[in-house]
Amino acid sequence: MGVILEVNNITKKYSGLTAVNDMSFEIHRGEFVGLIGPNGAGKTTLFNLISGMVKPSSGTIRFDGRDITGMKMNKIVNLGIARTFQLVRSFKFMNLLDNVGVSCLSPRGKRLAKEYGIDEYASTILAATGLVDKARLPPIILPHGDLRKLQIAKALGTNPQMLLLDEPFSGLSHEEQKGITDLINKMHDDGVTVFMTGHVLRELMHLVPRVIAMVQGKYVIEGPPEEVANNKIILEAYLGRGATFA
Amino acid sequence: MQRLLEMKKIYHYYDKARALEEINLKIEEGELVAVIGPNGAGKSTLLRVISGLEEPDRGKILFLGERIDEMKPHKIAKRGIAHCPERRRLFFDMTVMENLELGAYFLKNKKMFHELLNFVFEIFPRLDERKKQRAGTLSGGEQQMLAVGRALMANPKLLLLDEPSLGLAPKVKDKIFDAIQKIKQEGTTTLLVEQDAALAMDIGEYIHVLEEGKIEMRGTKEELIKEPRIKKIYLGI
Repeated sequence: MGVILEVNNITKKYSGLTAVNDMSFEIHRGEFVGLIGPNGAGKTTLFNLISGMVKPSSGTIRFDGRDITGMKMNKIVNLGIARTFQLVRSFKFMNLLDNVGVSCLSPRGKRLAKEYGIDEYASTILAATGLVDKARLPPIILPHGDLRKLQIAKALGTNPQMLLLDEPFSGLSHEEQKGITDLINKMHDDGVTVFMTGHVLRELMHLVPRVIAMVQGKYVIEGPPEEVANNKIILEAYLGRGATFA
Repeated sequence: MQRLLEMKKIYHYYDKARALEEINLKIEEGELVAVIGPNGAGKSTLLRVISGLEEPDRGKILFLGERIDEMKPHKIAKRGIAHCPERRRLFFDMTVMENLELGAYFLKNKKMFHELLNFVFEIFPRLDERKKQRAGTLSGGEQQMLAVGRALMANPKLLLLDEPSLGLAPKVKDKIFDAIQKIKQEGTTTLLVEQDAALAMDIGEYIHVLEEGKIEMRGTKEELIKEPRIKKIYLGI
Protein backbone atom coordinates (compact mmCIF):
# COMPACT_ATOMS: atom_id res chain seq x y z
CA MET A 1 0.00 0.00 0.00
CA GLY A 2 2.09 2.95 -1.16
CA VAL A 3 2.08 6.47 0.14
CA ILE A 4 -0.90 8.47 -1.12
CA LEU A 5 -0.25 11.76 0.69
CA GLU A 6 3.15 13.15 1.50
CA VAL A 7 3.44 16.41 3.42
CA ASN A 8 6.94 17.83 3.61
CA ASN A 9 7.93 20.69 5.90
CA ILE A 10 4.71 22.54 5.25
CA THR A 11 4.40 25.98 6.86
CA LYS A 12 1.60 28.51 6.75
CA LYS A 13 2.18 31.97 8.14
CA TYR A 14 -0.48 34.61 8.57
CA SER A 15 0.78 38.06 9.51
CA GLY A 16 2.65 37.40 12.72
CA LEU A 17 1.09 34.01 13.36
CA THR A 18 2.43 30.67 12.20
CA ALA A 19 -0.67 28.50 11.98
CA VAL A 20 1.17 25.46 10.65
CA ASN A 21 4.84 25.19 11.41
CA ASP A 22 7.07 22.80 9.48
CA MET A 23 4.74 19.79 9.50
CA SER A 24 5.82 16.58 7.78
CA PHE A 25 3.99 13.25 7.64
CA GLU A 26 2.77 10.55 5.27
CA ILE A 27 -0.50 8.77 4.78
CA HIS A 28 -0.72 5.43 3.00
CA ARG A 29 -3.30 4.42 0.45
CA GLY A 30 -6.34 2.97 2.18
CA GLU A 31 -5.29 4.17 5.63
CA PHE A 32 -7.60 5.59 8.28
CA VAL A 33 -5.86 8.35 10.20
CA GLY A 34 -6.97 10.89 12.80
CA LEU A 35 -5.55 14.39 13.24
CA ILE A 36 -5.78 15.71 16.79
CA GLY A 37 -4.65 18.78 18.66
CA PRO A 38 -6.24 21.28 21.02
CA ASN A 39 -8.19 24.28 19.85
CA GLY A 40 -6.04 26.49 17.66
CA ALA A 41 -3.48 23.76 16.94
CA GLY A 42 -3.79 24.34 13.19
CA LYS A 43 -5.81 21.28 12.15
CA THR A 44 -8.22 23.12 9.89
CA THR A 45 -5.39 25.17 8.37
CA LEU A 46 -3.62 21.93 7.55
CA PHE A 47 -6.77 20.66 5.82
CA ASN A 48 -7.06 23.98 4.00
CA LEU A 49 -3.49 23.54 2.77
CA ILE A 50 -4.01 19.98 1.59
CA SER A 51 -7.29 20.75 -0.15
CA GLY A 52 -5.89 23.88 -1.81
CA MET A 53 -8.04 26.47 -0.07
CA VAL A 54 -4.93 28.30 1.07
CA LYS A 55 -1.39 28.28 -0.29
CA PRO A 56 1.51 27.29 1.94
CA SER A 57 4.25 29.77 2.83
CA SER A 58 6.77 26.99 2.29
CA GLY A 59 6.97 23.22 2.00
CA THR A 60 5.49 20.74 -0.44
CA ILE A 61 2.48 18.45 -0.64
CA ARG A 62 2.42 15.41 -2.91
CA PHE A 63 -0.72 13.44 -3.62
CA ASP A 64 -0.86 10.19 -5.56
CA GLY A 65 2.64 10.77 -6.90
CA ARG A 66 2.01 14.32 -8.02
CA ASP A 67 3.12 17.66 -6.59
CA ILE A 68 -0.07 19.51 -5.65
CA THR A 69 1.58 22.34 -3.69
CA GLY A 70 -0.25 25.60 -4.34
CA MET A 71 -2.66 23.98 -6.80
CA LYS A 72 -6.21 25.38 -6.91
CA MET A 73 -8.84 23.46 -5.00
CA ASN A 74 -10.93 22.63 -8.06
CA LYS A 75 -7.85 20.96 -9.58
CA ILE A 76 -7.14 19.08 -6.37
CA VAL A 77 -10.66 17.74 -6.06
CA ASN A 78 -10.34 16.44 -9.61
CA LEU A 79 -7.25 14.50 -8.58
CA GLY A 80 -9.31 12.82 -5.88
CA ILE A 81 -9.18 14.73 -2.59
CA ALA A 82 -12.57 15.72 -1.22
CA ARG A 83 -13.16 17.49 2.06
CA THR A 84 -15.97 18.40 4.42
CA PHE A 85 -16.17 21.45 6.63
CA GLN A 86 -16.51 22.02 10.34
CA LEU A 87 -19.70 23.99 9.78
CA VAL A 88 -22.18 22.23 7.54
CA ARG A 89 -22.60 23.80 4.14
CA SER A 90 -25.42 22.77 1.83
CA PHE A 91 -27.47 24.15 -1.01
CA LYS A 92 -30.26 24.88 1.43
CA PHE A 93 -33.23 25.02 -0.90
CA MET A 94 -32.23 22.25 -3.31
CA ASN A 95 -33.32 18.74 -2.43
CA LEU A 96 -30.74 16.21 -1.25
CA LEU A 97 -30.65 14.43 -4.57
CA ASP A 98 -29.69 17.66 -6.31
CA ASN A 99 -27.24 18.59 -3.57
CA VAL A 100 -25.35 15.37 -4.24
CA GLY A 101 -26.06 15.66 -7.96
CA VAL A 102 -24.01 18.85 -8.10
CA SER A 103 -20.86 17.12 -6.96
CA CYS A 104 -21.59 14.19 -9.28
CA LEU A 105 -21.13 16.71 -12.12
CA SER A 106 -17.44 17.04 -11.27
CA PRO A 107 -15.13 15.29 -13.77
CA ARG A 108 -14.39 12.33 -11.50
CA GLY A 109 -18.02 12.06 -10.43
CA LYS A 110 -19.26 12.27 -14.01
CA ARG A 111 -17.04 9.42 -15.10
CA LEU A 112 -18.95 7.12 -12.79
CA ALA A 113 -22.28 8.86 -13.09
CA LYS A 114 -22.50 8.59 -16.86
CA GLU A 115 -22.92 4.83 -16.63
CA TYR A 116 -26.09 5.26 -14.61
CA GLY A 117 -27.21 8.85 -15.08
CA ILE A 118 -26.66 11.60 -12.53
CA ASP A 119 -29.86 11.06 -10.54
CA GLU A 120 -29.42 7.35 -10.34
CA TYR A 121 -25.82 7.72 -9.26
CA ALA A 122 -26.67 10.41 -6.69
CA SER A 123 -29.37 8.08 -5.32
CA THR A 124 -26.89 5.28 -4.79
CA ILE A 125 -24.76 7.68 -2.78
CA LEU A 126 -27.79 8.77 -0.76
CA ALA A 127 -28.59 5.10 -0.17
CA ALA A 128 -25.05 4.44 1.00
CA THR A 129 -25.21 7.38 3.40
CA GLY A 130 -28.64 6.48 4.75
CA LEU A 131 -30.39 9.48 3.27
CA VAL A 132 -32.27 7.93 0.37
CA ASP A 133 -35.68 8.25 2.08
CA LYS A 134 -35.10 11.98 2.25
CA ALA A 135 -33.86 12.44 -1.31
CA ARG A 136 -36.67 14.84 -2.19
CA LEU A 137 -36.40 17.00 0.93
CA PRO A 138 -34.35 20.19 1.21
CA PRO A 139 -31.53 20.33 3.81
CA ILE A 140 -33.20 23.23 5.58
CA ILE A 141 -35.78 20.96 7.25
CA LEU A 142 -33.42 18.16 8.27
CA PRO A 143 -31.79 17.48 11.64
CA HIS A 144 -28.12 18.24 12.13
CA GLY A 145 -27.10 14.57 11.98
CA ASP A 146 -28.55 14.21 8.49
CA LEU A 147 -26.79 17.38 7.37
CA ARG A 148 -23.47 15.93 8.54
CA LYS A 149 -24.20 12.83 6.47
CA LEU A 150 -25.06 15.04 3.52
CA GLN A 151 -21.63 16.69 3.74
CA ILE A 152 -20.02 13.29 3.37
CA ALA A 153 -22.45 12.34 0.59
CA LYS A 154 -21.52 15.50 -1.35
CA ALA A 155 -17.84 14.71 -0.91
CA LEU A 156 -18.44 11.16 -2.16
CA GLY A 157 -20.16 12.54 -5.24
CA THR A 158 -16.76 13.67 -6.50
CA ASN A 159 -15.59 10.04 -6.38
CA PRO A 160 -12.60 10.77 -4.13
CA GLN A 161 -9.59 8.61 -3.41
CA MET A 162 -9.13 10.44 -0.17
CA LEU A 163 -11.60 12.10 2.20
CA LEU A 164 -10.61 14.90 4.55
CA LEU A 165 -13.27 15.15 7.24
CA ASP A 166 -13.08 18.25 9.43
CA GLU A 167 -14.90 17.69 12.72
CA PRO A 168 -17.56 15.34 11.36
CA PHE A 169 -19.00 14.79 14.86
CA SER A 170 -19.35 18.34 16.09
CA GLY A 171 -22.77 19.31 17.35
CA LEU A 172 -24.14 15.78 17.13
CA SER A 173 -25.97 13.69 19.70
CA HIS A 174 -24.56 10.31 20.66
CA GLU A 175 -26.95 8.47 18.39
CA GLU A 176 -26.05 10.71 15.51
CA GLN A 177 -22.34 10.29 16.18
CA LYS A 178 -22.78 6.54 15.94
CA GLY A 179 -24.50 6.94 12.59
CA ILE A 180 -21.57 8.99 11.27
CA THR A 181 -19.08 6.53 12.68
CA ASP A 182 -20.76 3.66 10.82
CA LEU A 183 -20.82 5.68 7.66
CA ILE A 184 -17.14 6.62 7.84
CA ASN A 185 -16.20 3.00 8.55
CA LYS A 186 -18.16 1.93 5.50
CA MET A 187 -16.39 4.49 3.28
CA HIS A 188 -13.08 3.26 4.56
CA ASP A 189 -14.03 -0.38 3.94
CA ASP A 190 -14.86 0.60 0.38
CA GLY A 191 -11.25 1.62 -0.06
CA VAL A 192 -11.33 5.38 0.47
CA THR A 193 -8.37 6.78 2.40
CA VAL A 194 -9.75 8.75 5.35
CA PHE A 195 -8.01 11.57 7.21
CA MET A 196 -10.14 13.24 9.85
CA THR A 197 -10.00 15.73 12.70
CA GLY A 198 -12.14 15.86 15.78
CA HIS A 199 -12.03 17.63 19.06
CA VAL A 200 -14.69 15.27 20.30
CA LEU A 201 -12.01 12.70 20.85
CA ARG A 202 -14.27 10.10 22.38
CA GLU A 203 -15.40 8.89 18.99
CA LEU A 204 -12.25 9.59 17.04
CA MET A 205 -9.79 7.86 19.35
CA HIS A 206 -11.72 4.59 19.17
CA LEU A 207 -12.26 4.79 15.46
CA VAL A 208 -8.80 5.20 13.94
CA PRO A 209 -5.80 2.91 14.32
CA ARG A 210 -3.35 5.79 13.98
CA VAL A 211 -3.41 9.45 14.96
CA ILE A 212 -1.13 12.35 14.17
CA ALA A 213 -1.02 14.98 16.91
CA MET A 214 -0.15 18.63 16.53
CA VAL A 215 0.14 21.45 19.07
CA GLN A 216 0.49 25.12 18.20
CA GLY A 217 1.08 24.39 14.54
CA LYS A 218 3.76 21.80 15.12
CA TYR A 219 3.95 18.06 14.70
CA VAL A 220 4.28 16.34 18.07
CA ILE A 221 3.78 12.60 17.74
CA GLU A 222 2.00 9.95 15.72
CA GLY A 223 1.02 6.41 16.59
CA PRO A 224 -1.77 4.34 18.10
CA PRO A 225 -4.31 6.51 19.99
CA GLU A 226 -3.43 4.97 23.36
CA GLU A 227 0.21 5.89 22.96
CA VAL A 228 -0.48 9.43 21.72
CA ALA A 229 -2.95 10.12 24.56
CA ASN A 230 -0.27 9.35 27.10
CA ASN A 231 2.35 11.58 25.57
CA LYS A 232 3.33 14.28 28.05
CA ILE A 233 3.20 17.17 25.56
CA ILE A 234 -0.25 16.08 24.42
CA LEU A 235 -1.56 15.62 27.96
CA GLU A 236 -0.37 19.08 28.94
CA ALA A 237 -1.70 20.63 25.76
CA TYR A 238 -5.16 19.30 26.51
CA LEU A 239 -5.32 19.40 30.29
CA GLY A 240 -2.92 22.17 31.24
CA ARG A 241 0.59 22.45 32.51
CA GLY A 242 1.67 20.03 35.19
CA ALA A 243 -1.53 18.07 34.68
CA THR A 244 -1.26 15.19 37.11
CA PHE A 245 -4.46 13.36 36.62
CA ALA A 246 -4.88 9.68 37.22
CA MET B 1 -23.99 31.69 53.03
CA GLN B 2 -26.60 32.85 50.64
CA ARG B 3 -27.45 31.08 47.42
CA LEU B 4 -26.49 33.45 44.65
CA LEU B 5 -27.21 31.49 41.51
CA GLU B 6 -29.12 28.36 40.74
CA MET B 7 -29.52 26.72 37.33
CA LYS B 8 -32.27 24.14 37.17
CA LYS B 9 -32.44 21.65 34.32
CA ILE B 10 -31.14 24.03 31.70
CA TYR B 11 -31.20 22.93 28.07
CA HIS B 12 -29.94 24.92 25.13
CA TYR B 13 -29.78 24.23 21.41
CA TYR B 14 -28.12 26.09 18.57
CA ASP B 15 -30.48 25.42 15.74
CA LYS B 16 -30.71 21.66 16.04
CA ALA B 17 -27.38 21.04 17.72
CA ARG B 18 -27.60 20.47 21.44
CA ALA B 19 -25.21 22.65 23.44
CA LEU B 20 -26.44 22.16 27.01
CA GLU B 21 -28.32 19.26 28.51
CA GLU B 22 -29.94 19.21 31.93
CA ILE B 23 -27.52 21.57 33.63
CA ASN B 24 -28.01 21.83 37.39
CA LEU B 25 -25.58 24.13 39.10
CA LYS B 26 -25.56 26.15 42.33
CA ILE B 27 -23.27 28.91 43.44
CA GLU B 28 -23.18 30.18 47.01
CA GLU B 29 -22.07 33.68 47.87
CA GLY B 30 -18.29 34.05 48.07
CA GLU B 31 -17.49 30.85 46.18
CA LEU B 32 -15.07 30.40 43.31
CA VAL B 33 -16.62 27.75 41.12
CA ALA B 34 -14.88 26.39 38.04
CA VAL B 35 -16.31 24.62 35.02
CA ILE B 36 -13.80 22.68 32.99
CA GLY B 37 -14.17 20.61 29.86
CA PRO B 38 -12.73 20.20 26.39
CA ASN B 39 -13.36 22.49 23.48
CA GLY B 40 -16.97 22.34 22.36
CA ALA B 41 -18.26 20.99 25.67
CA GLY B 42 -20.62 23.95 26.08
CA LYS B 43 -18.65 26.07 28.56
CA SER B 44 -19.17 29.43 26.86
CA THR B 45 -22.82 28.64 26.23
CA LEU B 46 -23.24 27.98 29.94
CA LEU B 47 -22.08 31.52 30.72
CA ARG B 48 -24.07 33.00 27.84
CA VAL B 49 -27.35 31.62 29.13
CA ILE B 50 -26.62 33.03 32.58
CA SER B 51 -25.91 36.55 31.33
CA GLY B 52 -28.85 36.44 28.93
CA LEU B 53 -26.87 36.46 25.68
CA GLU B 54 -28.69 33.22 24.91
CA GLU B 55 -32.13 32.38 26.18
CA PRO B 56 -32.20 28.78 27.41
CA ASP B 57 -34.65 26.52 25.57
CA ARG B 58 -35.76 24.88 28.81
CA GLY B 59 -35.14 25.21 32.52
CA LYS B 60 -34.88 27.97 35.07
CA ILE B 61 -32.13 30.25 36.29
CA LEU B 62 -32.51 31.97 39.62
CA PHE B 63 -30.31 34.83 40.75
CA LEU B 64 -30.85 35.77 44.38
CA GLY B 65 -34.15 33.97 44.15
CA GLU B 66 -35.38 35.85 41.10
CA ARG B 67 -35.95 34.23 37.68
CA ILE B 68 -33.53 35.72 35.15
CA ASP B 69 -33.74 33.18 32.33
CA GLU B 70 -36.13 35.27 30.26
CA MET B 71 -34.58 38.60 31.08
CA LYS B 72 -32.65 40.82 28.65
CA PRO B 73 -28.87 40.91 29.14
CA HIS B 74 -28.77 44.56 30.24
CA LYS B 75 -31.30 43.86 32.99
CA ILE B 76 -29.29 40.88 34.16
CA ALA B 77 -26.14 43.00 34.16
CA LYS B 78 -27.94 45.61 36.23
CA ARG B 79 -28.82 42.99 38.83
CA GLY B 80 -25.11 42.35 39.38
CA ILE B 81 -23.83 39.76 36.93
CA ALA B 82 -20.76 40.83 34.96
CA HIS B 83 -19.67 38.71 32.01
CA CYS B 84 -16.04 38.80 30.93
CA PRO B 85 -16.37 37.19 27.51
CA GLU B 86 -14.16 34.82 25.59
CA ARG B 87 -11.61 36.65 23.44
CA ARG B 88 -12.06 39.74 25.62
CA ARG B 89 -14.24 41.86 23.33
CA LEU B 90 -12.67 45.13 24.42
CA PHE B 91 -13.41 48.51 22.91
CA PHE B 92 -10.12 48.46 21.04
CA ASP B 93 -10.14 52.05 19.84
CA MET B 94 -10.79 53.41 23.31
CA THR B 95 -8.24 53.89 26.04
CA VAL B 96 -7.77 51.58 28.99
CA MET B 97 -9.45 54.14 31.21
CA GLU B 98 -12.43 54.53 28.89
CA ASN B 99 -12.90 50.77 28.81
CA LEU B 100 -12.92 50.70 32.60
CA GLU B 101 -15.36 53.61 32.76
CA LEU B 102 -17.72 51.74 30.45
CA GLY B 103 -17.53 48.76 32.75
CA ALA B 104 -18.94 51.02 35.45
CA TYR B 105 -21.82 52.09 33.20
CA PHE B 106 -24.54 51.28 35.74
CA LEU B 107 -22.65 52.63 38.70
CA LYS B 108 -24.15 55.77 40.24
CA ASN B 109 -21.84 56.28 43.18
CA LYS B 110 -18.65 58.24 42.42
CA LYS B 111 -16.89 57.15 45.57
CA MET B 112 -17.59 53.55 44.69
CA PHE B 113 -16.15 54.14 41.23
CA HIS B 114 -12.85 55.27 42.70
CA GLU B 115 -12.74 52.41 45.17
CA LEU B 116 -13.28 49.92 42.37
CA LEU B 117 -10.72 51.63 40.17
CA ASN B 118 -8.17 51.49 42.99
CA PHE B 119 -8.87 47.80 43.46
CA VAL B 120 -8.48 47.08 39.73
CA PHE B 121 -5.19 49.00 39.62
CA GLU B 122 -4.02 47.23 42.75
CA ILE B 123 -4.44 43.77 41.24
CA PHE B 124 -3.38 44.88 37.75
CA PRO B 125 -0.76 47.63 38.18
CA ARG B 126 -0.04 47.38 34.45
CA LEU B 127 -3.44 48.88 33.71
CA ASP B 128 -2.62 51.88 35.86
CA GLU B 129 0.63 52.37 33.93
CA ARG B 130 -1.19 52.15 30.62
CA LYS B 131 -4.46 53.86 31.41
CA LYS B 132 -4.13 56.42 28.61
CA GLN B 133 -3.11 53.86 26.02
CA ARG B 134 -5.54 52.50 23.43
CA ALA B 135 -6.78 49.03 24.37
CA GLY B 136 -5.93 47.68 20.92
CA THR B 137 -2.24 48.39 21.49
CA LEU B 138 -1.99 46.27 24.65
CA SER B 139 -0.37 42.83 24.72
CA GLY B 140 -2.63 39.77 24.94
CA GLY B 141 -2.09 39.41 28.65
CA GLU B 142 -2.78 43.09 29.31
CA GLN B 143 -5.93 42.89 27.23
CA GLN B 144 -7.10 40.01 29.37
CA MET B 145 -6.36 42.04 32.49
CA LEU B 146 -8.39 44.88 31.08
CA ALA B 147 -11.29 42.59 30.25
CA VAL B 148 -11.36 41.28 33.81
CA GLY B 149 -10.88 44.81 35.17
CA ARG B 150 -13.74 46.15 33.08
CA ALA B 151 -16.06 43.44 34.46
CA LEU B 152 -14.95 44.25 38.01
CA MET B 153 -15.81 47.92 37.49
CA ALA B 154 -19.49 46.92 37.46
CA ASN B 155 -19.06 45.93 41.10
CA PRO B 156 -20.59 42.56 40.33
CA LYS B 157 -22.21 40.21 42.79
CA LEU B 158 -21.30 37.44 40.37
CA LEU B 159 -18.35 37.57 38.02
CA LEU B 160 -18.42 35.28 34.96
CA LEU B 161 -15.00 34.61 33.45
CA ASP B 162 -14.78 32.87 30.09
CA GLU B 163 -11.42 31.25 29.30
CA PRO B 164 -9.18 33.93 30.78
CA SER B 165 -6.11 31.80 29.93
CA LEU B 166 -6.88 31.61 26.22
CA GLY B 167 -3.86 32.26 24.04
CA LEU B 168 -1.63 33.40 26.89
CA ALA B 169 1.93 32.32 27.69
CA PRO B 170 2.31 30.23 30.88
CA LYS B 171 3.76 33.09 32.95
CA VAL B 172 1.00 35.47 31.92
CA LYS B 173 -1.61 32.81 32.67
CA ASP B 174 -0.21 32.53 36.18
CA LYS B 175 -0.52 36.30 36.66
CA ILE B 176 -4.15 36.30 35.59
CA PHE B 177 -4.93 33.37 37.84
CA ASP B 178 -3.22 34.99 40.82
CA ALA B 179 -5.46 37.98 40.22
CA ILE B 180 -8.56 35.78 40.08
CA GLN B 181 -7.67 34.39 43.47
CA LYS B 182 -7.24 37.90 44.85
CA ILE B 183 -10.63 38.85 43.49
CA LYS B 184 -12.11 35.87 45.25
CA GLN B 185 -10.36 36.79 48.52
CA GLU B 186 -11.91 40.24 48.27
CA GLY B 187 -15.27 38.50 48.33
CA THR B 188 -16.43 38.53 44.71
CA THR B 189 -18.28 35.35 43.82
CA THR B 190 -16.82 33.98 40.62
CA LEU B 191 -17.81 31.40 38.02
CA LEU B 192 -14.77 30.52 35.97
CA VAL B 193 -15.01 28.57 32.74
CA GLU B 194 -11.70 27.21 31.57
CA GLN B 195 -10.24 24.70 29.18
CA ASP B 196 -6.97 24.54 31.10
CA ALA B 197 -8.09 21.93 33.61
CA ALA B 198 -4.89 21.96 35.66
CA LEU B 199 -5.03 25.72 36.27
CA ALA B 200 -8.75 25.83 36.98
CA MET B 201 -8.57 22.93 39.40
CA ASP B 202 -5.81 24.68 41.31
CA ILE B 203 -7.98 27.65 42.12
CA GLY B 204 -11.59 26.40 41.91
CA GLU B 205 -13.10 25.48 45.26
CA TYR B 206 -15.68 23.39 43.52
CA ILE B 207 -15.28 22.06 40.01
CA HIS B 208 -17.82 20.89 37.47
CA VAL B 209 -16.67 18.82 34.51
CA LEU B 210 -18.62 19.45 31.36
CA GLU B 211 -18.65 16.99 28.47
CA GLU B 212 -20.78 17.50 25.39
CA GLY B 213 -23.19 19.79 27.17
CA LYS B 214 -23.64 17.67 30.27
CA ILE B 215 -22.07 17.92 33.71
CA GLU B 216 -20.44 14.52 33.98
CA MET B 217 -18.66 14.96 37.30
CA ARG B 218 -18.32 17.48 40.09
CA GLY B 219 -16.30 17.82 43.23
CA THR B 220 -13.27 19.39 44.83
CA LYS B 221 -9.80 19.11 43.35
CA GLU B 222 -8.94 16.38 45.84
CA GLU B 223 -11.95 14.37 44.76
CA LEU B 224 -11.45 14.86 41.05
CA ILE B 225 -7.71 14.46 40.77
CA LYS B 226 -8.04 10.71 41.28
CA GLU B 227 -10.61 10.45 38.54
CA PRO B 228 -9.28 8.75 35.41
CA ARG B 229 -12.42 9.93 33.62
CA ILE B 230 -11.16 13.51 33.33
CA LYS B 231 -8.31 12.49 31.08
CA LYS B 232 -10.77 10.36 29.18
CA ILE B 233 -13.15 13.26 28.69
CA TYR B 234 -10.38 15.41 27.26
CA LEU B 235 -8.55 12.76 25.26
CA GLY B 236 -11.28 10.23 24.60
CA ILE B 237 -9.23 7.31 25.80
